[in-house]
Amino acid sequence: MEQYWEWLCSIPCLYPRQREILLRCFHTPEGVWRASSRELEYLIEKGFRWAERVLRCQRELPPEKTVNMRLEKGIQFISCEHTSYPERLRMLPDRPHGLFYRGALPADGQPSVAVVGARLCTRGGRELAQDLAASLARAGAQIVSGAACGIDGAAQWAALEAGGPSFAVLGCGADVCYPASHARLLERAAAEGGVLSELPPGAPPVRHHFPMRNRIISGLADVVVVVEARRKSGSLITAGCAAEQGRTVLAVPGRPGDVLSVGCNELIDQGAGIFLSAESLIKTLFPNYKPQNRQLSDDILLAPAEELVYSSFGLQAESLDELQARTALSLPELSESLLSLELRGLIQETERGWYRRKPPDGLPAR
Amino acid sequence: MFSKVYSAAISGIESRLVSVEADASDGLPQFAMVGYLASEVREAQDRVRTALRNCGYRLAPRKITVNLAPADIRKSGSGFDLPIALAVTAVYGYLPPEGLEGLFLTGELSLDGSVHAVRGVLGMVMEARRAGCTACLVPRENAQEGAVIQGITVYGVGHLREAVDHITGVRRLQPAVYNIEEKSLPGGPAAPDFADIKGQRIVKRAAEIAAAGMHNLLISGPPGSGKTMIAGRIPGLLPPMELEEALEVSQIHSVAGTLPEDGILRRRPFRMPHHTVSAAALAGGGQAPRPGEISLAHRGVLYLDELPEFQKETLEILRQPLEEGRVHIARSGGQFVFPADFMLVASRNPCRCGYYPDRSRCRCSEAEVTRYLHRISRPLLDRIDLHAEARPMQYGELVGEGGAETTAQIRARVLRAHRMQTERYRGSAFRFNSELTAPALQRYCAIDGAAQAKMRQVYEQKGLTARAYHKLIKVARTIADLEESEQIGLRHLSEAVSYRPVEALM
Repeated sequence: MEQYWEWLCSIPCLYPRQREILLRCFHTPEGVWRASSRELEYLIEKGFRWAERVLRCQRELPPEKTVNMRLEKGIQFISCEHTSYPERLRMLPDRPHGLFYRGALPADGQPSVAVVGARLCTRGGRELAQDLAASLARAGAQIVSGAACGIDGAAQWAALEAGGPSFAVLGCGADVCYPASHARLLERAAAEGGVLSELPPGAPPVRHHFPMRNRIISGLADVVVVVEARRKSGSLITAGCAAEQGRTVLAVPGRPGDVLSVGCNELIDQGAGIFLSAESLIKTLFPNYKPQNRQLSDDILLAPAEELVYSSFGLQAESLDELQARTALSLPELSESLLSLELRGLIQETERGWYRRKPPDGLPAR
Repeated sequence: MFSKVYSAAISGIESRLVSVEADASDGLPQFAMVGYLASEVREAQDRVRTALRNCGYRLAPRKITVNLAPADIRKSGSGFDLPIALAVTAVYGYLPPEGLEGLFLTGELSLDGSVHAVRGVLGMVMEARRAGCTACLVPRENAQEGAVIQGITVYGVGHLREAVDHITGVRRLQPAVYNIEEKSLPGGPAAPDFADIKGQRIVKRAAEIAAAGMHNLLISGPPGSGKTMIAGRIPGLLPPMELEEALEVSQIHSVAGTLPEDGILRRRPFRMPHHTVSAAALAGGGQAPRPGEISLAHRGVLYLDELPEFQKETLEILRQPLEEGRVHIARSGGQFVFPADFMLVASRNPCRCGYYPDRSRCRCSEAEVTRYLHRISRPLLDRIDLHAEARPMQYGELVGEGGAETTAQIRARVLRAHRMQTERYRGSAFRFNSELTAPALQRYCAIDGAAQAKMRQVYEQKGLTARAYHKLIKVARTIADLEESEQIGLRHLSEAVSYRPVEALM
């Protein structure tokens, strides 16, 4: 049975709704495979032009061939009828008929959180996503996202660095590396988590694939956190799907007027939850989890200048210029204190010339 | 009848003595010129003949031959008009033959006999003195420039007839005098001051360090953050040029024709070629190569605004001059070497639109940002020690009554650092910290023990490379020099860390 599901899912450019129609006509995937050309031509006549693709695949791409081609690429397949199909998706009315994946699939028993947001994100947004994903991963959550540039990729990378699994849901074939600059991220996700897609191997990343894959991101998650979103962001589609699927949606609030917070604030307006902190989220997901707070106890003695520099940090990364204005130290003094704080692991340099306090339970070095 | 005067041909920035010989003999009336001449020199015969006639010297129809020797170097430029005219006048007996002895001449003639400025007079007068000439007649516009050279009398002439009257003794000219003491203070409008710049402490500090150790500097920052203002003020931080240096620099500018009329350059050059500059204009070139922007910036500052916008091939030319302090130019006419020992200051936007990482304005994708930054090749970036970032200006900074330091205050520190370096490198091949080679670092850059231990940690944590580490030490050496400290301490090293290049975006 599995091979017929795979065959059905491997037909290029055949989308879930169309497969649904076929299944309604022919009852099972095997039925579709065995459908006579007369039956299919009838469908075509009735206006379902896409049925031509089925006809073509019946001739040119028999199930054995699709299985072999997939195996050559090292990709696994699971259909929605398989016992190991993710439980979270099984309930959904528009569940994917099958998943192609490298690595593993999200475990059913383990809480999973989707961290999504803008591709062109701010430095602050990126850091928040990284901290959140790293803390969640350390607490034992699985991080699901879209491996896009910006928030998605940053969160997944941070989760992997923190030692947790991360799952990338792609808008192209599971063997296609998109965006190309995230090749390393995808490799690592495949090794330590999973890279999955509803689309057959080799499917190109085209525009209309992405809204479809967003429903899988939200479907695989228990909680969806939207970190930054513009007014018409793809993350809002994910949040919409999540709401329909009954998932918890949390949005990171921002100041009214910030271009990158408009989408989040709109979500809150529409009834999404407010993201307060990683700790509160962890507390809901893992009531028994005790974060191992690094002891910032009295036994760390800071020099007066270091004390001054450390206390002048806010929540976000500060530039050297800003720090100097706040502390009124000379540049050599300031940089000496910064370096010493950094070597002690109290602060970190996020980019050259930008420093911030390390989050309480520490962020892995990039 | 035969007569001979001296002039000079420009070859690179050097001048070569050329003797201009004229002879008039019986035969078909003709004006023949020989001696490997460029076309503008060949055209001199028409200018000379007409000018002489218009000044009232009648040339009886005879066969006139003019030879410019030595015959194996190519003569170009318009400076041969005056010597040819006077040599011909002498042949016709208008001048006493002994009047031309030891006389050096250059100048372009107009058809009415007036003498116009030429390029390269400074170098020519130097060459004339070396060759043992006693007096020079140069165009009046160039007289101040020529008079800088001591040990030879320089006269400025405005008209062919004045030159003839001077030689015949009818009316002697006044020698041009260049008073070095009087002009030793750079006059003119005051140079722009650092106090004008609000905020941007990091970049200003980086500029100070760059000036102190003659390090190359790259400033990144959004448009309107003051990158150009800062770069333009860097020459003011450098020590004034000694006479020797000033002559060297002026000689280049003299050949390029960019000298001020009142003599030589006293202020360090600041060159700011537009990003459409061609490779030849930047490095120097042409059939008879002339110095390019990098040579005009010799001993000064070359500022390349919008570095990624320059043609890639144009920028790659900078590699050799940055390493050797001069540029070799090979043309069919020969090999030329132009000095090009400059401090490179460059600026760039962080991305195409200029506002990255301000995401409310910048919509460049990360791939686009990376691509933009990668337009500058690695080898070129490797030659830049200091990387500083300018930040967008806040309104408060813009209008605030900031007690910004003046150029004079900063320069006092820079000069101290220069003195430290002069003393330290006495007797060695180095002059500035930026020139130190890896083996020399061990010798001159003593790092105190505590700092050394920390540096190991930094090296590992920040993922430095050996090359980056060497640059770091050089910059730290300069920072220590600014504080007049012989030992490099942790504070110096830690500051140097914040000017290291950005290795990668992510």
